[in-house]
Amino acid sequence: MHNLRRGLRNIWRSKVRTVTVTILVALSICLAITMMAISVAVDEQVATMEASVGTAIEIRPAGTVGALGRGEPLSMSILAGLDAVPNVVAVAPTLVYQHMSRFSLGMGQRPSEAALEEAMRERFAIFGIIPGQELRVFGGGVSALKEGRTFNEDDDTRLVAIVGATYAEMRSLPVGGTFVLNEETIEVIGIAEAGTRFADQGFFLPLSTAQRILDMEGQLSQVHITVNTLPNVDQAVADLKAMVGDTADVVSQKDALLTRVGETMNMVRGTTSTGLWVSLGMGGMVIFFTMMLIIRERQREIGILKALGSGNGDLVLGFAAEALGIAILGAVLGLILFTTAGQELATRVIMPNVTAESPSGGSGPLGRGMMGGMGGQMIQALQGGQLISQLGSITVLLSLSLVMRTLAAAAVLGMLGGILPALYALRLKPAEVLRHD
Amino acid sequence: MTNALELRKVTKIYRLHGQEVAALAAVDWVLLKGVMAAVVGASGSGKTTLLNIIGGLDRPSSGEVILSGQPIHHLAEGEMVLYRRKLLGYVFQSYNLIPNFSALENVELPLEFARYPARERKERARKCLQMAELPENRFRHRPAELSGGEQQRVAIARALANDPGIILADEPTGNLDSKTGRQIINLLKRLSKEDGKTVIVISHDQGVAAAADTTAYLLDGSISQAPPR
Repeated sequence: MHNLRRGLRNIWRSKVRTVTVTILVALSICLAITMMAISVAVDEQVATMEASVGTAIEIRPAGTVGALGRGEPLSMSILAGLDAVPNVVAVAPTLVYQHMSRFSLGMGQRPSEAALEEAMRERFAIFGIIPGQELRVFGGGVSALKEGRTFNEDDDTRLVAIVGATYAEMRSLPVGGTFVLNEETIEVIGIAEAGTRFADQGFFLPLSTAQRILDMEGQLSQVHITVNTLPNVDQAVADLKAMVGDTADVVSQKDALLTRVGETMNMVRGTTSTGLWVSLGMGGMVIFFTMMLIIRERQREIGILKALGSGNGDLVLGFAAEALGIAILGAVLGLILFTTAGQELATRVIMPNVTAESPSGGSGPLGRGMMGGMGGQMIQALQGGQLISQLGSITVLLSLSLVMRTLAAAAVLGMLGGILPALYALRLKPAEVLRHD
Repeated sequence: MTNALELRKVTKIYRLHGQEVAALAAVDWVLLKGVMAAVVGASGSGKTTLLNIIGGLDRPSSGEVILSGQPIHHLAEGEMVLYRRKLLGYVFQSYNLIPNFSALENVELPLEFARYPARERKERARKCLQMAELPENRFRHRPAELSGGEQQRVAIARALANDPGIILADEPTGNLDSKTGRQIINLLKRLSKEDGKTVIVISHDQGVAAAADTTAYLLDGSISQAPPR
């Protein structure tokens, strides 16, 4: 105990040095905490993706390539018995109608800004959904309600809509406002946002309303199935295929999506892992060299302590306690730094990886993917892009577990940074270091 | 009286630039318990080497060092630590107190190494400082706040902390004025006479030799009881 006390008191023998070293260690530890926090946040994001996207299955008209492809629409009768399939937790039938722009270009022509804007205004999507289900857009992505309310059971046949943020903005539609579709006036009850301009350029209607207005009574574009856990997806796909037979395709989105997202995840994980070890290494080196300097300065004192009967254990524990104290001070300051600058630092670490991996096809409303025709792969790439974009906006939080891990890492750094130089101190011969007394 | 210290043919040879230099050459010396002895010699005569070997801080190249009847020249480092801790007290020329510790805490240090309980440690440290005649109101002061004489008293108190049989003092008056130096020598002498400590003082100062019960003269690594001519 006295060794610990002596070591901790020695920290303040040179206040300027201690403050300087503490700041350097704090910077290293702040960086390390950020890396750990990113890692935790990314893992949580993956878990969310796996839960919400990875467990999604789509039933599409046979031979088509997604909601926007050609093919005979599905019949409402396909829904019978789907919710009884083992491990299926949600069945969401959807009618999707894509109103394309009349915009066209001749070979070698470049569109004007005004023409592009006009084309953007003309293009929109209609999603007919059962009241109460998620506001699902292309490829399984989900919109979040920003204003107003979502559908309730009474809305099933009413002329009400939840409009996408881009659609509402371009037409200056507030909640409570109205717009006309096929000569019917529809009231806006909510505004939702999916995060991309492409997905937000449209609106949701109750399924029955959409079928009536679009003259598609009893028809569906797709059915979104949600399975309880990721490991059950393959079995559920097999069961659903057995049930629908050749009338529809049953497609799991998890493989393509997770492969796409997985590349980014691996890059982020690689960056954070390297960053973690480099920053911890830097902190360790700062403590190590500081302790070496301290031991060189105190060679005489070490000789005196040995002459007074100090054992090797006393010396090692004294220096280890001193290094540990510096490391813990650095960790506390590092935690404070993290709370103020951690989010900014995390964004700077993640964004280069995310930007490098964003799909070009989904980068703009009239980008290459849309002009080339929207197949299922493009939609999945677009959705992957949305998910990857979510990685770029992850929030790093300081949890108790992170605090404990930081303190533990600091303790290990301190012990290593203190004990290794202290072992050098043990080799000092008191007669030699006291010779010049 | 029994022997506190016995040196038999103690030799210490250093290798310097490929050449062997004998710091001590077959030194024989016997010292009785409770005696204050002065070791006098010029610079480079081997005084500090002799003190380091007696104190277990260095080992002889050959010969025997017997302390209170126990040979110590062959002890392993771990045993040597115990030997230094229990049987010896050191007083250095430049005091060598720990700067961020108070006088009391400096005296407590050897007791901490010897694993004394906290309460006993403090009582013992106080008693030692009183024996070294440091005013009570200086106990909480740090070395930088004490005069040279006061610091040397703290160093002597620290040497007394573990109640050792032998006190080794290397030029204890070297950094002090003559009056304070005399007070320190008188203190060491009293410890020898009243408390039965064997005190070995290394010094250039002939006044120290005059105050000692016995004087050994070192010249080129050899010891004699008569001053060199």
